[in-house]
Amino acid sequence: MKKQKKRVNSRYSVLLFFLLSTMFALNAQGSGKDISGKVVDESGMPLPGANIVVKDSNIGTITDFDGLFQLNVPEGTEMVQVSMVGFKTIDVLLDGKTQFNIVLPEDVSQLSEVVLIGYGGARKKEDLTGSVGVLSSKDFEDQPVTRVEQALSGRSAGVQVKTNSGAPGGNLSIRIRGANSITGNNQPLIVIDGVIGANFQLVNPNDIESIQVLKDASSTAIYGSRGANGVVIVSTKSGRNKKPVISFNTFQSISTLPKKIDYLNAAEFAELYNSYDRDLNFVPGVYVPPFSDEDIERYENEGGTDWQDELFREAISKSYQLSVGGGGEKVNYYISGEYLDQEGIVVNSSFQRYNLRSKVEVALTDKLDLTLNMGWSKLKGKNNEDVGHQLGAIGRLPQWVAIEPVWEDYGVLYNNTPQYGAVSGNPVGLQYAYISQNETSIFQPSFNLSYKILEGLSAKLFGSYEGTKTTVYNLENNHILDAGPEVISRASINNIDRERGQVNFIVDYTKEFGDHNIQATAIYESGNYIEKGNFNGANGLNDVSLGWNNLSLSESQTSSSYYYDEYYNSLALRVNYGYLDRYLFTATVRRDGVSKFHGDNRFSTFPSLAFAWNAGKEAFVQDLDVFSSLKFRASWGDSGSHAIGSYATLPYFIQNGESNYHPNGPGTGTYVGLGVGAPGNESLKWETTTQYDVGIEMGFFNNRLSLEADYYNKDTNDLLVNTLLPEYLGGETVLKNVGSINNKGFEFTVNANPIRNDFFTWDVSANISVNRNEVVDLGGDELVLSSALYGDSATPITAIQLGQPLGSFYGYNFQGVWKSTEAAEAATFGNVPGDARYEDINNDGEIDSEDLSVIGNAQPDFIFGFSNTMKFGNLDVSFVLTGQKGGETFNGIYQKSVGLYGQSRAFTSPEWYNRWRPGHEDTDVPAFSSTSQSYPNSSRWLEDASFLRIQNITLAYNLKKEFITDLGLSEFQVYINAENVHTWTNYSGYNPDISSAGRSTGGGSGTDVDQNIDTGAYPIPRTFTLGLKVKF
Amino acid sequence: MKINLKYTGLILALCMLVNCANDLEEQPRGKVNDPETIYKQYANLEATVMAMYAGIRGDANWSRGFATSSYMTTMFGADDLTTQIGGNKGNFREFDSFNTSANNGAMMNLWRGCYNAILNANEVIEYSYLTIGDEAEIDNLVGQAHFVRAFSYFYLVRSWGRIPLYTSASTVATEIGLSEVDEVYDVMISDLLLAENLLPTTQNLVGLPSEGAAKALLSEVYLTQAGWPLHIESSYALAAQKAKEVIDNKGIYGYDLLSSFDNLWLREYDNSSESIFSLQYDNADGATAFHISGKASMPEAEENGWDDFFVELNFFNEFPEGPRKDATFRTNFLTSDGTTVHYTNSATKHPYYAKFRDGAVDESNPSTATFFNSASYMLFRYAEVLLIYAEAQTRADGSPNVAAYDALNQVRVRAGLSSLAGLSADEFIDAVIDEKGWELAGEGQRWYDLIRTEKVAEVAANRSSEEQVGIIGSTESDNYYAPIPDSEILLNPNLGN
Repeated sequence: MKKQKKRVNSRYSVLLFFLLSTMFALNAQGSGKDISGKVVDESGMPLPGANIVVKDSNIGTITDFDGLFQLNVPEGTEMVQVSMVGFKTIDVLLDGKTQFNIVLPEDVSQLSEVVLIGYGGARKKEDLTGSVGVLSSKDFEDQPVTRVEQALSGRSAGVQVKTNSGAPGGNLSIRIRGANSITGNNQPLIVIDGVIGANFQLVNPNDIESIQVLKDASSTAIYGSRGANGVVIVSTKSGRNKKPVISFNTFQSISTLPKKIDYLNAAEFAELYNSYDRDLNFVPGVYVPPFSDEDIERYENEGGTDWQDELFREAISKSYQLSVGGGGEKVNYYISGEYLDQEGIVVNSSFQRYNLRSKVEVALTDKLDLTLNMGWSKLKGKNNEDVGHQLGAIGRLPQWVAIEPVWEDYGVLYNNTPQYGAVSGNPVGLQYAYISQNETSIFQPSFNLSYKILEGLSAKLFGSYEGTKTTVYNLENNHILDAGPEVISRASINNIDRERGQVNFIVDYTKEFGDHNIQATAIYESGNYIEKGNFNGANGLNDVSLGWNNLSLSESQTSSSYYYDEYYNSLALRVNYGYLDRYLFTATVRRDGVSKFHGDNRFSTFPSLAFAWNAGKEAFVQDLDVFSSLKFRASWGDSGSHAIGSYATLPYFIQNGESNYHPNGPGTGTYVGLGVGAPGNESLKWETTTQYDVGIEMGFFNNRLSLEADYYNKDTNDLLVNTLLPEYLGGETVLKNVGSINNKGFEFTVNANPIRNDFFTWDVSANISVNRNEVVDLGGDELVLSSALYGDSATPITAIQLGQPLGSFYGYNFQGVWKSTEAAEAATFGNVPGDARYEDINNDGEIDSEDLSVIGNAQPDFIFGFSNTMKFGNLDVSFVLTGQKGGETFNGIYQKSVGLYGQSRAFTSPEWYNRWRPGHEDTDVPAFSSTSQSYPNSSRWLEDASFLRIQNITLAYNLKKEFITDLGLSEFQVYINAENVHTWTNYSGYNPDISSAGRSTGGGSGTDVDQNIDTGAYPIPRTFTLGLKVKF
Repeated sequence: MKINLKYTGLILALCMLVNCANDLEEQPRGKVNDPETIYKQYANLEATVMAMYAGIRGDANWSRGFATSSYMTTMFGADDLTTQIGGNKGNFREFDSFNTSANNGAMMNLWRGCYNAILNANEVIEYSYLTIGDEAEIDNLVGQAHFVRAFSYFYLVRSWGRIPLYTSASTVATEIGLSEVDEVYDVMISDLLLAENLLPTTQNLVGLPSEGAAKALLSEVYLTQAGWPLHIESSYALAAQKAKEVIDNKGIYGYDLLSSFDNLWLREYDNSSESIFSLQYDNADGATAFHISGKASMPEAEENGWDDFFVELNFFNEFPEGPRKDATFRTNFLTSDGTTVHYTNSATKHPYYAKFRDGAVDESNPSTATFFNSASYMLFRYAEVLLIYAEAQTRADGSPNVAAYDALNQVRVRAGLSSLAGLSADEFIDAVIDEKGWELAGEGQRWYDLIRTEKVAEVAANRSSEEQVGIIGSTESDNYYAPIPDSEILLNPNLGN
């Protein structure tokens, strides 16, 4: 019933719209004179797509592929305005002429660049009052980026892009000005061509026209309850020219593991294990070491297994992209397709993406425009999503010693409970035995009808739908890992169907009167999200070769299903007011209602205000002759975050295999279990972020050098936190609004254009961001423990502590080893010299929970990026550096290689050579000792995560125009690129900035409480690419 | 006119918002969340009973319940259990060496499993009044909940002493402190008296506890209440009485000793007449297999096992010879290259348990054993009731009667030992305690008998000098209980007092 009502409402708005359109359909035809000409750049190259408009009217045209235009102008027209993105806008006096040759000077500063501000709004960069980072396709078009996130990396101040997983199609996270939320995922809101909450995977980076990152509250408040994490607005390319432009891009690349970790080889292990056994088990007279001299010699000769060589490989990837764009007077079109095929550097992992996108813009009448946008994407991944956790192949690898073989027999993997390895999980075996294949298809059509009611007043109706169907296929082929009658294999198919709908009705009003300029936008928005899923699983497959394709041919089957929905309604208003182009004001307000909360808590209002002063336009500043531009900005506003899913206010129960039981004995029917989960919390409400921002923008030397600096301070209140119940109450979680987090920081960007001439242009850009995150209130608590467990630790290794930032590590403070001179003190702890020593914080002679404290933090002191582009004639050279200073990473793979705890029965780390022993006491590595504690939650496993990385280097060669025009080409470029070229770091694992947090298997949450936890995260590969770009 | 229309548009938009605002009420379609609604259905009440068993049964992740050898962590101080000196056995070693720590992760298995069962049992007991259905069937479910709650608190109170105690489902006990031991006994006894009345004499499903199981468990609760630390000696008579009711009605309850001791450990005898309460493990559900089988008590060096737990040397040496000893221990190991190694020449120089092998070990090539199987794991069996009676009657009356001798001798005869006669009360009691240790060796019961009778120090003093795991801490009653887990104190600081 209720659904229906909603549909009726959207129908009303359509109706209303057409009502308005018919009433105001005016005819604006007339006769005048024809003018024509050519638009070229300073080097004389024709400029296709330049706009020629009769000043103060909507009469205009664009240049074709050869830069030519023709326009019928009304009698009495004195002047036309010529503009194009990246060039200065100029006015051309007609002066009675009809033929023109117009030279457009390039705009180095891009201050005239149009910046999208959401809901169809656009402002010139110089008129912005908020803090917005802008990237145009030119910034990354020379780089073979496969993900939009990669384009952002290192290029925008205040934006931290983390490659948590190096798996193809793997997990990337973006943080804008730090993390606000403990429970929410802190990912910014993604808006692609007006579709809110879109998926970056839906867009081939080559189809992108521009990316804007809205950072301050005045920019994001228009997105209200979803804007708190910042907003990334992406607009895709449109067709422009009369003549179709066809472009073809392709590349092939090869990826490798950039670094190998040093582990013991077979002979080294055997010798060291003998020492270990002797230290623990030596009994005079009868002692026989586990490995004889002959064994060791044999290992010496055979070498043993190099598990890294077995698990990692050289991976090949390829991409093909084809696009065509063009148009006429009434219609523009842009259509593109992409095929991407990536292998992962871990064996048996891969990713494929197919993309299709079309945009058609039709001028239905002079006043009515229709845009139809369609995006379709198919993603196929194999062992690429839920990898990189501690129970996966990479997490298991450091537990596997070199004397264990990969294969037991031809085609049969070595038994999964070897003598000296982990309890289970031959790493290579896991990668072949556990197959997780995911297939996602996304279909996203949208339309935009816009009607010009009057000069300056327009109305828009926008609607979009996004359907995402995901199927995850799983196969657990235990038969190739283990023998025996009890071994059973399993398979499952999990279908998830997500639908998102959005309707906007937008009224825009723009008016200039005298020195005043006003732009107002009123927005109505309604949306919903529905998720449905079902799961079908089979245990005890009769024939494992059938995989997941015949689930019923098995001992038993399970199935489950779920349904989830949410709705929201919003009303928003934005007003931009400018006086003398110098004093700029923006005010927005949005009221949101969301179904996730209870009663009055559903509604909230989000206001914002901003002011900017374009001082560079003041005569007294211009008189100084120092600044080519100068602007001061200040803003304040509120934005919000839901941070939670539906039904979170209600109590819940647990239904899963672990709650089921077989009360009539093994092998009899399964009785479904319904376990008590946790009570609900009806008083939940939104998280609200209040942000202040002040900024300055300066340009020098005709804007060849520009600086932008921002300071911000944001408080997030009513944080939604999953609080853990004690185990005696079930150990589940309850959501509560507790506490506040503060983020404050500086962002600084420099763009310079030191050289620009016909042969050589040089662009450099550097940015640095400092963010300080602090938990300022926890609702009366001092400490909230994370709900996720890592590294075989029974207590969480991360915690939220008052006065500390998110991402704090929690555990025992490792102090090296007890020295011989400290034997008496060691004995009070049940230790002997050589045993690991931990700080007894409360000095009670015991190491227990009272000695747990914050032992480190994942937050960097600052992050930075540096990009450099040089063009020597036809040769382009560019590189990007990224890095961070400070922050720590929990090195779980180092912990596992040291071993002898949890599921690690032996060790693989050569660090044991440096262990404490009589005569070698000056070390922090404990002895082989049965009384030495190896706590999984100790500072011993934290390492400095600072790094400096050559993110990429590209060398591109453009064939000279005179060679290619004969072939009918307008561009022919060959390039080579290297990604993740080198990383300078003290971190001893694969990458300091990868994380296992957020994997659904092996524990872990996707929140910012758990950051930089490397319990076997997928390493970021080093990739070399050879690519070709051709334009017809 | 123009302006009017603009306003009309805005007003219309506002109306739409007001209209849609009504839509924001959540009506979850697929999710159960209100106990007062869901427990009207009998099937849902039964499903929560199943989740209750699943709680103690535990999971395959070495985190919860009786599924893995980790449940015995707090019991390693006993002489029937020891472990490897190195490797990853630190958690077991802490208790074996009487040097316990509050951040011992393995002891959480017993804690989590028992409390998970209690959480679900409370729900069943509290909301069963809403359930629509056959009264006897509902009573059966509620009786099981009382039984399992008492069973779970019994393990907790014996391992930790003062513990968090709660019996309500609707109030969430996030801030309670530790309850005294006697309060826990009061709850257990009242639960079992109720269970006795509510449960049927026999169950249709073999894994569920019956009236007899409630009486049997009650007899053990009384026996334990009469010993350390509460020393309520009047409870010996109650223990004897309840055990006698089970013995006298064994025909009704379907209980009896299996004729052969070694059959007890074969899969075909799972849920036999000797089983009073067993947990049901089933590998088909993946997470629900039994992980004490196979590798856990197999030698690493010879049979590719895990060395998790095996027997102390003096316990083994004093164990009387006979078919029971042969079925309990494995003294010769068959390596993968076909040679047989006697335990005295093995890496750890210890015999291992033979009880937990069927269905997980290929005896012609033990190194290929799995570490899990489908089995039912006996946590209470009829032999124990006989021995409880023998001890309780003697302590209550001052000397063993004929029935007590009969009970003890039934167990001894099956074990291939001679019948005993003419012992003094103290001699008889010692004989019963020893017998119980041998009969139930490796089954997680010995430790609780040793602390109840305050024999820990005496037994520990007898630990062989050849044992690799030595004694570090106190073996007196100040060190009998495991420390309250750190992770729990962190979440509820009231548990730290």
